[in-house]
Amino acid sequence: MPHIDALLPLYPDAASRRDLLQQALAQIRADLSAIDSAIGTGDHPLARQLTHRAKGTVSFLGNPETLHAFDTLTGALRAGDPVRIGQAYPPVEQGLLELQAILQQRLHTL
Amino acid sequence: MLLSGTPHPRLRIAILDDHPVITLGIAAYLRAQPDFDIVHVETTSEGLLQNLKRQPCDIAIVDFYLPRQAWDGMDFIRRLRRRYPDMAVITFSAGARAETEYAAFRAGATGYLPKSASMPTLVEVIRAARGRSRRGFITHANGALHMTPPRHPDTRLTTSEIEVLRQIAQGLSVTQIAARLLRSKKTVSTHKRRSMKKLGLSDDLSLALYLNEKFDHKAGP
Repeated sequence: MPHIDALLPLYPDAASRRDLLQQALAQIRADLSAIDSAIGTGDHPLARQLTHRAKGTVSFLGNPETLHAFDTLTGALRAGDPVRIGQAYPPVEQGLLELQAILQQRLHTL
Repeated sequence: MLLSGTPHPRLRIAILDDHPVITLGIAAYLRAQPDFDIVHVETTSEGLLQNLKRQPCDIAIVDFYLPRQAWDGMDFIRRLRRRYPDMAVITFSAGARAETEYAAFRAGATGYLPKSASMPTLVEVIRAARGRSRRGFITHANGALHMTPPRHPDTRLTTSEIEVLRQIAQGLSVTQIAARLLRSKKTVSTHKRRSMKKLGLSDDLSLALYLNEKFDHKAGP
């Protein structure tokens, strides 16, 4: 179960839940775009930091089972190996897109 | 009439995480606790230090890894400890558990929680940390609080050496690390040289390979 489902009922009102979901969605979109761009331009240290931040979001709101994908990408970025990066990025992207879909769905049901 | 004891004063809490969603999420949840006052919600270590000067807190919940910021990690926890010895510092991190937990403990933190922990667990740790700024070290595992100091994840290295290696792994030079940790370049170089000797690494290439392996999955970015 994603953490967001345990978190949302604990918030005091719909407005604070909506605020959290909207900010999280905006942040995930920004992180996805920034990681993609940093990998595209070969800025691996920046991509690594952004990946760590995105891992924090998924740890906090999402499904802990997807976290290993972030570690794999971090390792590939540290090694600077384009082949490994190319293989490791799609699962991270998928994990973030899945979390985005979950958050959007929760937002619609508020 | 029976006296029920002196009620606890409200806890003044500061939150620091470079991720605004996490600060927002934690703050929103903690604000709903009847005995908590959320005083500072910050995304930079510098901002937190400035605001604590204006209004101190009882508890600080701090993210361990704050890349591209003036201070993070053990250095920042020590800085908070020096300036606010009575404030409890709870480290909250998505980094590798064993290394981060031990590093936070050695730097003087009051407790450690992974970011995957639930909010009620964080509340439990905050309440346990009340008035416990320097006594014990609080962690949460298998559904219960623990006060046992964590074990050293790698007995070969000192925490200063691990901190220097962690910063080298982040791509910082000896000069940059010295400036960050407020140590001389000579001290940082000595930590680097001694850790290489302990680890049996003969040159910078073997150090790079070790850091790649060691800090890949274990100690954050």
